[in-house]
Amino acid sequence: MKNTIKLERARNDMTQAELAEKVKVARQTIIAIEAGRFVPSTMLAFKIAKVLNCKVDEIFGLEEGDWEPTI
Amino acid sequence: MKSSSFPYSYWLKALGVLIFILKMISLFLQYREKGAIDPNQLALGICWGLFFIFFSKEKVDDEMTHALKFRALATAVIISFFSTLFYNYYFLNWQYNQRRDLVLSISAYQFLALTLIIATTIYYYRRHQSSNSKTE
Repeated sequence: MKNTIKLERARNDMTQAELAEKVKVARQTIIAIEAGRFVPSTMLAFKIAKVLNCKVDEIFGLEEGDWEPTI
Repeated sequence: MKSSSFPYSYWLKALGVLIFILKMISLFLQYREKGAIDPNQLALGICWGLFFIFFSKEKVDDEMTHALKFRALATAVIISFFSTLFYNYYFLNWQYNQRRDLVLSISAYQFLALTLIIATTIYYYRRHQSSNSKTE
């Protein structure tokens, strides 16, 4: 899943640590989400979107490979 | 209120480390006295220590922490299972005779200790990897 958190963060002039603190997760989690290594839960995705003043689908989007079965 | 799969407070990690160190000291003293270490006692010490270290909450306990721990645990159980089978087959039962012998196996403490060692190692390695990425 691709995301534009880094871009939106820059637009909001916010560091990873600040975003992590606002959505109550570890900074490592924000790093992993930005790098596409961790897909957040719906709840966390909504929290991130709210803090960054965006809609969820403006930040997160499906990629071609996401349609393949995960198991 | 949300319930966590990892029930113990963060400070219990310190208790885990303390239990592990005390057990290792007691085993060292036992070794000096008897000249041998009971592998089950060693495994028990590792189990108690790593149990509290692995199943305690992190400083910031979030969904990625939980996901990493569950994945590490799943991988560890699979590796431990096959390692146990391999060890039992090639080292404990290599001369097994179906009519004469009973099947020998490592103890439950040893299996649990192996699983917890692998799970804890994988978890901290992956966590370290995720925090080592470029920031800002």
